[in-house]
Amino acid sequence: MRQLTVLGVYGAYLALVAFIFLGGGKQMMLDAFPGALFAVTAWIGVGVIASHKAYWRLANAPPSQLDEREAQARMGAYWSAYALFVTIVFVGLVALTLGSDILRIKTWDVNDVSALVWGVFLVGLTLPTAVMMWTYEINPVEDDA
Amino acid sequence: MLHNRIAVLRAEQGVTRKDLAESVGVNPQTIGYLERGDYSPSLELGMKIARVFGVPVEVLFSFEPFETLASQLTKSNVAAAQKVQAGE
Repeated sequence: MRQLTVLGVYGAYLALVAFIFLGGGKQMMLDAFPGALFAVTAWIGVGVIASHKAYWRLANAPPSQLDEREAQARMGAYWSAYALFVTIVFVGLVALTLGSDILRIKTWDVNDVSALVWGVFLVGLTLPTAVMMWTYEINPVEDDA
Repeated sequence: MLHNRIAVLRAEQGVTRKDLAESVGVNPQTIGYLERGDYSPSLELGMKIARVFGVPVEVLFSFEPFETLASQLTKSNVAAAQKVQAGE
């Protein structure tokens, strides 16, 4: 379920970007305000990830509020998030290079930049939490004697 | 993997996970992770837990699995029976 949430958030944003740039928004008049659409979708994504409060706390609470196990788990998640982010940037740069040099796409408009920046905002704010949601299970505290 | 007797000592001394967690300054979930062997504590945390139970740290943690209580009791019963048979 947690993994589905992560897939849903990033998948929804990617789907919106593809939908707008493939011209699907024209019939629904969505192409009139794509920047706002990207912003709202990104913020909703942040809200959905942040609603998993235990994971959000683990990824974002001040270090003084975490014990050693939680700090260790966070460090692992941040390392994975960093590696993933660098990979995404690398793939993006390769795609841009191919687009520019092979497909001869030379112009960027404000919507392209808006989609990119709101995407980076979404990923930058949520990736460590998303990595934890993907890989780490938080067990509830069992009642005991 | 580091084996431990936290659950046994906690049950024996009637200490809840929350109480133990508060005593050593960690989240109660961390005590659960320790008891299941899903997390190996730092030396500092291990010694704090040992101090709460009033035992040396090597009584609480081991690289080898601890003998079960049933096995220990069986051994001590057999030893006692052998002593009786030997007329001691």
